[in-house]
Amino acid sequence: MTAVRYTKNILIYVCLIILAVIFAGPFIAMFLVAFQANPVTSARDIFNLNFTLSNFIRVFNESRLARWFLNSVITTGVVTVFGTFFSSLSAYVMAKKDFPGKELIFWLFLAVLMFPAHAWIIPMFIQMSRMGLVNTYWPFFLSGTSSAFGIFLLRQYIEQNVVSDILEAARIDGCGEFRTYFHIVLPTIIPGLITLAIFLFIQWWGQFMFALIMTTSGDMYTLPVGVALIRGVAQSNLRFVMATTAVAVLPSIVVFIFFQNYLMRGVVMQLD
Amino acid sequence: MTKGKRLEWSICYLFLLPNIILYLLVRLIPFGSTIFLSFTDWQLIGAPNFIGLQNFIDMLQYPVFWKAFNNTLMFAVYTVPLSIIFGLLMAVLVNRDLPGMKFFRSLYFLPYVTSVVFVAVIWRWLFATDTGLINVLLERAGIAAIPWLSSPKWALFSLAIVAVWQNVSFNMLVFLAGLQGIGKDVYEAATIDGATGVQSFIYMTVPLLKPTMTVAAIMTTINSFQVFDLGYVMTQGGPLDSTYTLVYYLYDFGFRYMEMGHASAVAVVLFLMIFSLSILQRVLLRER
Repeated sequence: MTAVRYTKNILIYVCLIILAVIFAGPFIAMFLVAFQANPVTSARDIFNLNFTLSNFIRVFNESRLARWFLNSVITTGVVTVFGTFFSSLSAYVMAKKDFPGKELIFWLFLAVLMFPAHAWIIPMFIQMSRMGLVNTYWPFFLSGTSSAFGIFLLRQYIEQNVVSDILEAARIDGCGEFRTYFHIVLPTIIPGLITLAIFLFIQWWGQFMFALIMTTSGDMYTLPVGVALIRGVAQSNLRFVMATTAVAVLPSIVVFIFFQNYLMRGVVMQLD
Repeated sequence: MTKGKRLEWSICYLFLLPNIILYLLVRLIPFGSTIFLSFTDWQLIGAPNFIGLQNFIDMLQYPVFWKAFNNTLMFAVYTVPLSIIFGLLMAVLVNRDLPGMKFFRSLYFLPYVTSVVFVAVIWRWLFATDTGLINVLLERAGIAAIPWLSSPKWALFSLAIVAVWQNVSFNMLVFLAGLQGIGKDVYEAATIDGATGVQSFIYMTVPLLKPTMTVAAIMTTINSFQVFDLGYVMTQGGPLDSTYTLVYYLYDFGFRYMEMGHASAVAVVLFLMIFSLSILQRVLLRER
């Protein structure tokens, strides 16, 4: 019996390691090229690594990578912070309050949740270019800080974790709505807020088509647009492409390492 | 009605205000405009002329629309079943308490957190016919090079492989949550009754997870219908339009040819395809 179990476990680990190669392999290959000192013309060249950081120094000096990085940090940062905050405001009211028109607003949020981006992207581009906001951060701020997904995620979290009796007690003690929200509701739902913030970060750090349409000047590209449009000499130099991509991927990996439990919980919450 | 009640309501509306204003401005009004524009011949200059259903009629007569439509469907046909099957198998594999399991689970989840564009740039090189890592490894194993992205026969399937690689990452977690809801006692009972691992997988796990599988399949289909980034970065829609999809068609007409009316008509078609799936998903989620 134990021998059978032993063999079975070995088989399981073999599968796990093969899968690890499939899922982490592409990222490892990316780093191997990015750190390679010799020119890489073919994958044959990556097996003898001659370690260097110079590719990273060169892409920062010779391309607009630093600028793209900054653009991504600003757009993603604002969207993440304000998107989480605005969603929590709506979510709290939708979970705990009754008022005329609530039903209508619920259906509004649900409809928006199910709109694919293509349903509004063309007129939004026209609107933004008429207002002179193409090639600014405003399209990102306006589009990203309203997250229907976030409202539903947090509404559910508030329903499950904020006890109505406490809100009622606070009200009887003369605690105003704003104080109740900031001192009782927000501290209680911090894990939910972190989960939503990570989803918004992932979504907007990687946002491509929207950013491609709303930015036409190289100085306003976000990382996905910059990376996708590397052309010409740089594209033929694989080391620079991979160094640029590695810089773009790294923040996601860091966020993932620190917050993966929140993220995994969020995936599960979407199904309830 | 008391004054206090009215004050409370106003505060509710105040809390909702940021979202409602933003939704009107960047979702509902643009959505209405998309539908309006789809009945016009607007090309960004001058006033839009109402042309009825002409955009839709034109679209149905363009071979390139049908090419994009078929490619989009085929992409979903390649992607969805594989994403579900591998996601489920991996969930079963990692759903056990062995040392290091948490590490492996996290590792498999990595592709999901990475942007499609970055992933596409990496895979564009892995798939390169003469110099890419995959063909170099195949060569060492004595297998002839495969024209992953350079042959119209392979290109769409190659993009689907990358999509599956990313979807599986997410679906594994979805199924893992489903498996952990089933409970160990059911399996123990089956083992006592003499069921083998494979038997309990086919006769218990699969039927019990069927609702989860349906929802995951719909979510994956919705994503597949919107594929754009992979084709844009890896193949530019080629070779011979073999990776040209509906969103790519919308992008070209809207943002390269400035045919806003025609692009809006495609947007309406895409919207109907995706919205009906979303409604189906809502209904199924509620039934559970």
